[in-house]
Amino acid sequence: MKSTLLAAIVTALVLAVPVEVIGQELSTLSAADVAFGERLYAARCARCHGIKGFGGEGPALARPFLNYARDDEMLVSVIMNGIRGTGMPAATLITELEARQVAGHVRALGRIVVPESPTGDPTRGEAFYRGKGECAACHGSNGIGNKFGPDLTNVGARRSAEFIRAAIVDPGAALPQGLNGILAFGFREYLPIEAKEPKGNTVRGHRVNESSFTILVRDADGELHSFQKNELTQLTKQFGRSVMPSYRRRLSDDEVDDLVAYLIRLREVVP
Amino acid sequence: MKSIVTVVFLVASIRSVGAQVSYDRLVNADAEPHHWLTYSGNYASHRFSQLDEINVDNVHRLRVEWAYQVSSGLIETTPIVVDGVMYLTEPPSTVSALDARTGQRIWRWSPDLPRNVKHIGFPLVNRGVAILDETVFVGTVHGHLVALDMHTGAVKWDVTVGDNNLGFSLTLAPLAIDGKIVVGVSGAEAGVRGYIDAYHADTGALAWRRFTIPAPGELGSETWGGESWRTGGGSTWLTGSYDPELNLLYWMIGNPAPDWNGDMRPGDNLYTCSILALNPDNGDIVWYFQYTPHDTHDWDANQIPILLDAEVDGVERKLVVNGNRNAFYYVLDRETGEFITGQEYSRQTWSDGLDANGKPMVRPNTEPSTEGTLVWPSLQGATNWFSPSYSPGTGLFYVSVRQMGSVYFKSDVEFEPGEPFLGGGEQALSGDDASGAVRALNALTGERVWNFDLLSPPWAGVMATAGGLVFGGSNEGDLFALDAASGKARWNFYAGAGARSNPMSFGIDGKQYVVIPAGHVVYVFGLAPEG
Repeated sequence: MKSTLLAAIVTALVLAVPVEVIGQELSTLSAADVAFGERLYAARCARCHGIKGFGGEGPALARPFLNYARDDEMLVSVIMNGIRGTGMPAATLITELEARQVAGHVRALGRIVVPESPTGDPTRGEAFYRGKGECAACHGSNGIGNKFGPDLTNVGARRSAEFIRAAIVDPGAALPQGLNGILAFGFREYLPIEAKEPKGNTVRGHRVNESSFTILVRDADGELHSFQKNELTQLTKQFGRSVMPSYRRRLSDDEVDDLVAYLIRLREVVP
Repeated sequence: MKSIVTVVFLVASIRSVGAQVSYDRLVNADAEPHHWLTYSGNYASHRFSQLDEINVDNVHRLRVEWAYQVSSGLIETTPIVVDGVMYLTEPPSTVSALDARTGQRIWRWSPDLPRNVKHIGFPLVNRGVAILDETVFVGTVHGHLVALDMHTGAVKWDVTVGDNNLGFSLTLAPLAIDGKIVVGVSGAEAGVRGYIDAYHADTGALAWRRFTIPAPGELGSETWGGESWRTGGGSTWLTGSYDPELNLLYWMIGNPAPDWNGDMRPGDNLYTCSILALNPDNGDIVWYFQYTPHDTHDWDANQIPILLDAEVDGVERKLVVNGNRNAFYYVLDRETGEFITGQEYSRQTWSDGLDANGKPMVRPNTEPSTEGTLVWPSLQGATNWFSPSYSPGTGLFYVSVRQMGSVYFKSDVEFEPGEPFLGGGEQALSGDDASGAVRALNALTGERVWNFDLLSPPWAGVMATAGGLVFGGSNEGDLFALDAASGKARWNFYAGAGARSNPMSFGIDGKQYVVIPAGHVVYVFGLAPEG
């Protein structure tokens, strides 16, 4: 029975997909390969990761960087071999070819398509970033984040121009999904927090990690504050808001275009 | 001299040749609370410890006494502890016997698994063993039931329960009753036709098999359109409960297949998403109750049925209660299957409630669809396989609750043996859009008495104790004890990785231990000395 099934699968795959796909870069997989990968994903992966890749029991996959699969070969390996000690199992009865097709679909879930080149002037955008925009105060002067703001190194490879634009004009609506700890399970990163301690002071910052009993908050000075929730007199999660101010009124449309044009070009791959 | 030698020999050999864990001991498990003899602690599945050394006043002194690292994978085991030895399973199907005082391993056994074990719709896990007389029984992910010598781990017999090539697998702890070992199967996501099996404990010979999907001509077959019964699912992947006095076995039945495309299986699809009361002598169905007719959200009924006796409207009743995956709590008469009462215990958007017979009043437009339909709860349900607990002291039913909605999709699917047979999918609302809780319900009505919030939907069960505590674990890695009367947190410990198992408790030399696995570690807690 098993050998018959295997033979049927192999035959179907040989008929369906050219063999050259093995070893091929995922970014050059054909649309048919990725579509076949989507079907396999729906049957085998979506139960934990969600059919849209937004996560569920398993982590979200609809994001550009995956903790255990920083490059395509690692992603194929994770699909075939699982991640030891986690809920991610090795795929059963899957060929490398199928794993590449699934990987192609997973990358498609996480890919932010850049439909057009931004029209702004990146030089003016950089001057604003380093100058009166004061972006570097939180994000660093070379696009390398400090302790408080998100690391913008390579942000152009991770985000679309549209996402960057939204984060500039309405940052509270563009909080990314987290990568750290429990936040990797679909929680928002950089969520603003207000924590009132019994002695009366209030700590404001963003969420670094959280459990049912504890929460870790980083304030604007980069200091970490660790709390047992039941020892706080009040804990407020400010959904829909961001600690980053909106630049909607501080910038003209052209200046936003300039800033987007600068940031979208920060796509140098850092090892 | 000879008589003295004989006496010494007899004493020394009691532990090795007697029926060490007899059926009578299992029936009377409540009489030896320092042992944990079955998956759920007793046949009524209370998951309640009568030990009270650890209580609300001293639980802050709880500390790790010892820990055991499993090989790899997810721990879902509930250990059994008897006569100073802990028997637990490690993923995927390994059994280890440990010195319960120190955690030192006595023996370990692993099956010779094929390289590509099929596990369609679930991870490679095992929830524990059963023990009877001198034998430990374990189900394996490749579909076998194996009997091991409790002293050495040597294999006594090994039988195939289901063909893993077709998707059959065993992840549950078997249930040992008088001379028989009862097991169920996983596999509905591969379109199997599920069953419950009973095997003779001494030989491994099949005593009876009860299919959960009736064949044409059998009662209930009219609830399946066309040939859909052949691939109808109805897995039986969680340990049932047993009433020795009524001689009835209670087993919960899983979802129909394909999961999300109900068009392919018109009808109520008996006995999926149901409870079956079975005669354990022959597997005959004595009564049934279907919680979710024609389920299209994968809300199987594979949750623990808890047996309790109580006065209802002035009459002493024998009850079976259940916090169902479909978000409703049910109270049934366990002699007849009569629906007594039920109500919503977690957010749901698919039903206007239960009618007088306990049947859900399903809202329109809650079916999975091509474009997606948002419904609470998610496919993983308002709760899942992890255990609830019942405290005879408080009369409360404690349950870990998942508050999570999901967008359900429907798609076409063709059945292929041993392949996923789902007919759709879901996209759960995760992160800050979902949450969890431990809730205490009035066991006779389902009315909420208290609630303790958890950050994310949990995968760990709960255990109440006579010390007035409810132990549990969070998905983020908190192990905790709540006040059983009020729900206030009394103790918590960050384990560093998510808990997805059930707490249990045992005692040695008068000292109480609480076991809660998390991550790759089985943590065993006890009280630190005072001062």
